[in-house]
Amino acid sequence: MEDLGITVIKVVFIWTWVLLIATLMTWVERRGSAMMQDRLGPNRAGPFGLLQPVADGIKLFTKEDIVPEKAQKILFSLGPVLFALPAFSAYAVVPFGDKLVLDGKEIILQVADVNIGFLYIVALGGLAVYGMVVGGWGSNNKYSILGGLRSTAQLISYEVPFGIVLLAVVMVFGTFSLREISLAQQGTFLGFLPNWGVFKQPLGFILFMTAAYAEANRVPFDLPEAESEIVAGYHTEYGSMRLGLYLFGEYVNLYTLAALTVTLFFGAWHLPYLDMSHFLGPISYGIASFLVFFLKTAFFLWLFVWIRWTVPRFRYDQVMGLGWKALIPLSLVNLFVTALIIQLTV
Amino acid sequence: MKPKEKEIKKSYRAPIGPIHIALEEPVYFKLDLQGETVKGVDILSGFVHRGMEALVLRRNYLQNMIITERTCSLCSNNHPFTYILAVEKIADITPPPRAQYLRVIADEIKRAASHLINISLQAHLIGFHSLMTQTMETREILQDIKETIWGNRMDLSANTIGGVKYDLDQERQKYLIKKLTQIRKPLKRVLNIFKTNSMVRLRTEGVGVIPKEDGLRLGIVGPCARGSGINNDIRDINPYAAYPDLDFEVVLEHGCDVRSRTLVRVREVYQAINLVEQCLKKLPDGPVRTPNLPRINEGEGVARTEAPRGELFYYVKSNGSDKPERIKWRVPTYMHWEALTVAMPGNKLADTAVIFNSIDPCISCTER
Repeated sequence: MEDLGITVIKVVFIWTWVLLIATLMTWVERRGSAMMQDRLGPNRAGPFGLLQPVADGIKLFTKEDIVPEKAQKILFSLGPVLFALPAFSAYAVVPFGDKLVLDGKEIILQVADVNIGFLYIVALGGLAVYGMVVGGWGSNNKYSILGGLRSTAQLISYEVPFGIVLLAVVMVFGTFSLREISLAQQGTFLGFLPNWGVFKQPLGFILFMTAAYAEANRVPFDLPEAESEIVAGYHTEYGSMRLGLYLFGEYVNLYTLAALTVTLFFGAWHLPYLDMSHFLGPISYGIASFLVFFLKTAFFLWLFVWIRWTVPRFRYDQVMGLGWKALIPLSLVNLFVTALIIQLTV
Repeated sequence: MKPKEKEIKKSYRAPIGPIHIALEEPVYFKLDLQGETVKGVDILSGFVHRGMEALVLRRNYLQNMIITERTCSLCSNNHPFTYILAVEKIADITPPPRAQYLRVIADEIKRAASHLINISLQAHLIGFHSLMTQTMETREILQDIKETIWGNRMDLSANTIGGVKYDLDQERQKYLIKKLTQIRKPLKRVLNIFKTNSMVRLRTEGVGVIPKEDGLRLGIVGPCARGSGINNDIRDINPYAAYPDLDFEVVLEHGCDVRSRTLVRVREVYQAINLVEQCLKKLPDGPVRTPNLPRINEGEGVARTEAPRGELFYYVKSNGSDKPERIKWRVPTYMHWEALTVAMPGNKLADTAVIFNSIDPCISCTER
């Protein structure tokens, strides 16, 4: 058991870090989309427009806080909180590096190494739906209700394949703890492939990514907030920082999902064919593992942006069809094959 | 349980408009929804009525060329053009052949630009923002052409009674040819996405079907009719200006859905570029305007042209004074409104915006 002080420092550090990255992501998204669309994007505030998120934050904070007259006040206020809270807490069980040795003390770079880390993440993902439904219902607006209902159906349908794929991963690594899964991805198997989840669960990885995009409400699955259909859906009526919480929660979610992808499928902080701990000092190894992990996560964050701006949106029935007719059967097949192989080889 | 309690309210009404993010212009739909499926649609309009049919009676024939051009931005060439054709019929004026070709050039450039805006909006509505901006970027080349040759990005003011107001000298012809070669490559790249991308297909195939019989019954026109396999191209069935001398084939698609209408537009963009190039090759020498215009006598004239959205019809009645006694115009979108009641029911709420856009609505034309 670690000191309370160290835990507090870790919590504060990772919280600030995630918030910083989520803030930066709004900038990356806007500049990235501008790049793909022959525009410039925000480039006035600070160098390359890097201070744009700060300007946005100030704007959102100082705007008048409007509650629609016919809205249900309590639910209306509760919505954004219910959405942002799980998003902010989900990262707690995801590692952000291996370990740092200071004064002979080993500090694990993870806020809480819970032995049921998986369940924690899936549970919090499920809770985020409430934020959208409650917000959509509380707004008392037809578009918002439609958005809220869409989010419920969509997230619940995609939670199933998400969970089944995670189960297959758990079977491969034989543990529920995200840290132990990360540690297990060291080295190689079959002699030449890195011991990464993506090589052990190729189909699982594709299914996981698809379900993750649906969980994150991103194009092509951004049905709950499809702006050309239901005008931003569940957050149509929101303004000022309440809207800010929704938008911000989304980017925090993205960061968690990207980090989860790296942890499960891309060897967490391990480099392929290279064990950094052999030739780096304890402190520099800690920092290097953090950086490697972050760079991999950054790639998947960029992938979120990249895909968002290069595909159209699915229609609602198509999303549900894909979820129930393709993803769930495929994830079950994946689970079955995984179980069969484990049974035959062990 | 009592029967009353068992009754669930089966459908509810969702409004779209008058101001909605998916609508270019104000119009109000009342959708009867059952879940997300549209059961019925009710259209309310009249938000942009400007009383143009009354205004034109207070201005003389030359001033009316200006005001008809302001009816709508995207077919702003066709409105004065058709009006002028009707007036020329009353006064029995035949414009010189060079003017006929120049009229076609202006017409086709506007048509290509209008079609590109429509298909780029479709990309926006299915949530494909990058494709929208890329299509608009390609269209920018056409806008450059318009600005260089006619001096304006939207209203060309190309036509006048008895001819055209502009001429293409050697330098401008060279410029036009250069720009048209330049646009082909990006156009092919962008339009191929509309033709082949599987997710674009998924969103547009089988959506908003207007069967051929319904199309004929409702009298739909333009790319909508041609998307349902009905040849309603005025350039072909009742050619005007230089169209009889030009070689082109009417674009027909038989899918009857949003996708076929888009494909018609995509192919017509290429067709428009081809037609402009043909015109430049065949462009005869001579004056561009009839000198000494006669007085416009008492009489009635009717003209119709193929606007980007379909058949545009003008009726002009003159009583011998300098102001017309009556001008009536029938615009393509008017017939398409009724077609929406066929196209929309049975589709999802998410598709209503796409279907509405597929008829290429022009509210300001229709409500004038």
